[in-house]
Amino acid sequence: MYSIQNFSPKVQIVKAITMPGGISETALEETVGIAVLADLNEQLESLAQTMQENLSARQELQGEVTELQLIDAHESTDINGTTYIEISEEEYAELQSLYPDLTLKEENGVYYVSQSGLETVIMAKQEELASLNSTGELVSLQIQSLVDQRKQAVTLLSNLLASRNETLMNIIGNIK
Amino acid sequence: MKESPNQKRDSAEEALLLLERENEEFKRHWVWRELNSTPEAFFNKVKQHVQSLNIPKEEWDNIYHKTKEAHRIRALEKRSFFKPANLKLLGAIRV
Repeated sequence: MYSIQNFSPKVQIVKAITMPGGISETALEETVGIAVLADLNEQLESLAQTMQENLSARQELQGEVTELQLIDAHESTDINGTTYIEISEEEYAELQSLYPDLTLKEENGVYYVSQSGLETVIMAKQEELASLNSTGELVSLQIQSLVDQRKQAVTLLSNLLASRNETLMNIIGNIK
Repeated sequence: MKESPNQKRDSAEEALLLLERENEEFKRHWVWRELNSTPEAFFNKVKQHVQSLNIPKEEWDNIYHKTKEAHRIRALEKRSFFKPANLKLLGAIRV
């Protein structure tokens, strides 16, 4: 087990340059390397959350589009030169609540929605979905890239650990 | 052929699954056992250590970006992202 008690730091060959903070350039680079690993890990956690939200939003939106398309497939009828789709009372109430700008009408106990209005909503939702898809695709690439970078950073940490590095000792010194 | 929303959703789910697997592997890495710590605890120590060093911000930022860029390039090299068809990704995934 790696502990401060049995730690025997080897003499570190560092560049003669000492930084203003009193740390050698090599030690600073090693510290930064470990800090990058910590940040990559945080970024991955944050991206996972973003991706999960993106996925949920897309699934919800896809469901919404499918429902609207099903309504759009209903039988249409012409009323005073405008094409309407006959809908149920429940669909009427739902559309009214979700899309207040949609043209809806009720005539003799029969409920209708304007076909052009409905198709405009569907198109807007599909555009929103396409935008979420693009974001999701980009986030997937970012995740892949960060996973690779984290692996790279862990390799650096393993190497420092294997060489019983002084920088690493300073960081873990007060863990015990 | 144009990708359907379902295909896109699958790729997102795949990315999340990949991350889940990688996170498990990361947590099980031998370095944490050797350090007798967890990634979370260790990274907290890293932050404290960095703060205690009082390194000038400009100096830190400079080396930080160089180091991060080096990781990014090495990771890309390992993935053979330098194939001409993938060069465009260099700009797209600068994270």
